[in-house]
Amino acid sequence: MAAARRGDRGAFQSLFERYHRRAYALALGVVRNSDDALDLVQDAFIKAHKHLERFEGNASFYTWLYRIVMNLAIDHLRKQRRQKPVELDETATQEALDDSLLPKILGGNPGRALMDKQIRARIDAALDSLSENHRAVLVMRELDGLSYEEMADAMGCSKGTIMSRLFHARKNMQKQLADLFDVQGAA
Amino acid sequence: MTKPTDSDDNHDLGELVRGHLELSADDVPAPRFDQMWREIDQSIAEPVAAPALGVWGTVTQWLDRKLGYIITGVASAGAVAAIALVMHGGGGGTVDNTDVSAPAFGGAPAQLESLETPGGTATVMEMHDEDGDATVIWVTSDDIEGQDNP
Repeated sequence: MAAARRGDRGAFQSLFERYHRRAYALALGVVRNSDDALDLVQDAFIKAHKHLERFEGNASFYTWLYRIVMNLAIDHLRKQRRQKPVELDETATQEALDDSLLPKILGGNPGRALMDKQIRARIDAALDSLSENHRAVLVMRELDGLSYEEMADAMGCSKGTIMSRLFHARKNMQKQLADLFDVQGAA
Repeated sequence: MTKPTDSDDNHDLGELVRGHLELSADDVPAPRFDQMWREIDQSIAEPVAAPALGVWGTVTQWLDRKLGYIITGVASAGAVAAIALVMHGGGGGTVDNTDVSAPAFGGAPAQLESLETPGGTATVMEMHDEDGDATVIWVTSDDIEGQDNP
């Protein structure tokens, strides 16, 4: 990190190699479009390099990069929202998208369940069905374990709003993936 | 067997979301990220802004840019000052005495209200010619008969 701050491009490339997929997962989780997420990650690294001198050495580079990616992703959502208004009802619930799938067995091993492409498609559909605010909070929490305060800071709203959004996001996801959880409970 | 709690469900949901997104990131082919790095590298390799100049550097840079205007302004001001000096006959302080002209008596001729010449007779003549105007006083003594006395 220190070498990158001194202008060593090789050192900055090492940071890119280390964090680009993680940053992409975050961006994809929020914006839900692969091309947009890739553009966003590229912009984030360029921005990070441009402002390297502002980076405080006592924080991890990823934490700093995370903030940049998240800010860009939220800006992206806001622009999209201006173009196509979306429902932001905090209490809205979504119907299950695909009832034809046979129940899958999580069996206490979500990692193994992810090997199933159908389950992953279900997760994608469930994430897509969430409102942007609900999805952003869920991804921040589940992917990187941010605290309520950190999420409130990132999204510019109160801690209570974050708690509410996370609660409803989880409930909506569980409802749409209910068959997976039911089977798990019966196992 | 214990019934799964909300906490268990949240944990499993978190695992699903995190695992799914990480696998989605792994699905992107490496060449796509290689291309991304090349574009980032190209972008950050472009020359950055010039270093700070400081006060003196800023002043000299400003002078470099404005030198033409400054020269034009100074030349114009000098020309105006020279014209003003010529119009007012030179700046004060020194007087050139090398070319002193005789006082001119032009204008109205002398006006004599009275002229007493004891022992003589005075004649006042006013002369007007191309050299100008002059007044001549001619006095003749009464004591010497027949002698002219200028």
